[in-house]
Amino acid sequence: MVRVEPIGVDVVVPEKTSLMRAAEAMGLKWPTVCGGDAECGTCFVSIDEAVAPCLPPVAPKEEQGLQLVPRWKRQQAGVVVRLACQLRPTSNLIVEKRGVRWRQEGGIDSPAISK
Amino acid sequence: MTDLYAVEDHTQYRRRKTAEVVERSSKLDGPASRLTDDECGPDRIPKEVYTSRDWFDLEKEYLWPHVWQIACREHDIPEVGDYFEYEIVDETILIVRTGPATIKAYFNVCQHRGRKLKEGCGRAERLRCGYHGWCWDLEGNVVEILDPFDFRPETIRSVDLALKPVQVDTWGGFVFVNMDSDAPPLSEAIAPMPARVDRYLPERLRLKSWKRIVLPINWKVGVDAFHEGYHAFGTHPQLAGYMDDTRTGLYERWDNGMTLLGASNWLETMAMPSRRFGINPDPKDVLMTMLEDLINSGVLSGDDLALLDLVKDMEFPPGDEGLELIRSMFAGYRRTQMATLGVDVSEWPDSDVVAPEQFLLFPNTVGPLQLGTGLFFRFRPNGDDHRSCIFDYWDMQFYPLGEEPDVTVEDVADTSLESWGQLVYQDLVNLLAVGRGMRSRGFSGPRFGYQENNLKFYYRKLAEMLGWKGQPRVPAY
Repeated sequence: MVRVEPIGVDVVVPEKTSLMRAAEAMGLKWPTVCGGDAECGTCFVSIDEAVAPCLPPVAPKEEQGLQLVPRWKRQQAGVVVRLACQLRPTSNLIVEKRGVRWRQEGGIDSPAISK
Repeated sequence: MTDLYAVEDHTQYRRRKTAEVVERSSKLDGPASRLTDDECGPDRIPKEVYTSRDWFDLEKEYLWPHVWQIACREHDIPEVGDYFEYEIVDETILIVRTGPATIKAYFNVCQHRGRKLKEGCGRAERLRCGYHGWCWDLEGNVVEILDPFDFRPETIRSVDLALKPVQVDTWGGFVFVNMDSDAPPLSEAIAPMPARVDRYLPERLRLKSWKRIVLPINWKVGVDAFHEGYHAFGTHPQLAGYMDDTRTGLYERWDNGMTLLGASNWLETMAMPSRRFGINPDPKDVLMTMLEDLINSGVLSGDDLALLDLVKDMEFPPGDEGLELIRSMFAGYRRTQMATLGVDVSEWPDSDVVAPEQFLLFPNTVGPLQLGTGLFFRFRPNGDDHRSCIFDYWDMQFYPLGEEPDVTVEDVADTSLESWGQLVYQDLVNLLAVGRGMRSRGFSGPRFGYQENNLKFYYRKLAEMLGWKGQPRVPAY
């Protein structure tokens, strides 16, 4: 289970599923531009450095995407930054991600597409 | 704290904001007539506009010879006798400084045998042809013919041999030319741009860098990419952390072809993450992200790194209050910076001090211009090739008077991230992919939405020009 702050929601992440996908499946709107391809760096989360050893390793694809996260973020002391679209957590975690919110009906979250 | 992310109906929002802009700025329209959103143009155009040789030939005949276009900067020819060759499709035009405050332009061709007179740029007292040595003064009068007695007098009358003039005028430090002697004056063609952006002192801008590259795309594919804000979210994801793309896109258009992607609402666009994302932005987070990216992408100059150091350890109040503080801090910083350059903007409102105006100078130059910096993107056909264009990237800023660097063009060999920086690189990736993709049988032509109204209007205006003396042979939807 992953606790997402500051919204304070617990996300149950099934095996082999990314944190972002699991959150979306619950009805959360997660900040992303590329939609989960590790191409925009927008979905990144900050995690306490102390729990870094419990995280699965960073694959080359994620490493590439992380380059798009602002440098000052990546260099912040005491914090590791990971992409929520690539991170498949295997243990309980607390992550910080501003901008996560419940998906709204209508408006900007569900554009009307004419058939 | 107000709800920063309340989803106001977009159409309502834009109509309200557009009305505000019209109210505020229409007194500056001058001889140009403003068009409404409903008058902009077609939602769809056929892809042949970009891909067909026929359409290109129409442009060659009815657009380029009749439209005011940027040839160079005034400081490309600072001294009397300096010349600059501007090439457009099959034409070559020579811009010559004939006096401290006078510039002339001629078709760059020897009247004897048709040799191109001058190549590139340089300085000359007289314009001598390299073929048989015929020579003209800077005013375009023939002054030397080798063995004139060998010609029948009526063959070499001075009046016939004078270099053929091209209309020339200047604005904002740019030198414009128009091959059509009947064309209306520049001031009419580019209104209301001077009235709108002269406050930013564009003539004070000097080149920091000038890059040029030939791209394998129709020139209009390039223009398209830089006068709508709709692509910002998909193409430049790094902007979404500090620029609300849902609040850009206040478009203004005038019947002479000019468009502004106005930043009159800058203060609710910048220092604000995309409204497509979440809630409660952390002001410090937004500010650091904004500064780092603006510096990386060259929008802020290297000097502005000092600002990053300044704010690194500052604390900001949460929410609206913090964001407001950031905006006024940014404006204050800019005022101080301008003061050191001798530009007094102490009385200006914050929005004017920091906001860019992104304009299209019809038909082929686009750019954001703000106080102290300007980026200009110019696309023109690469000679007579409808599938290839020349892209000029002019990165300009203010310098202390007398300390302006002497920058000339750098021909860049590739479209890599290293050569162009993140922002332009992301656009270049699109340009190449669009140029490649749109030739496919699987594509019939682009479709434009509200946020691409500038493009609808652009193609309406272009079609008008091409139909002016000829009938476009391109099918209409």
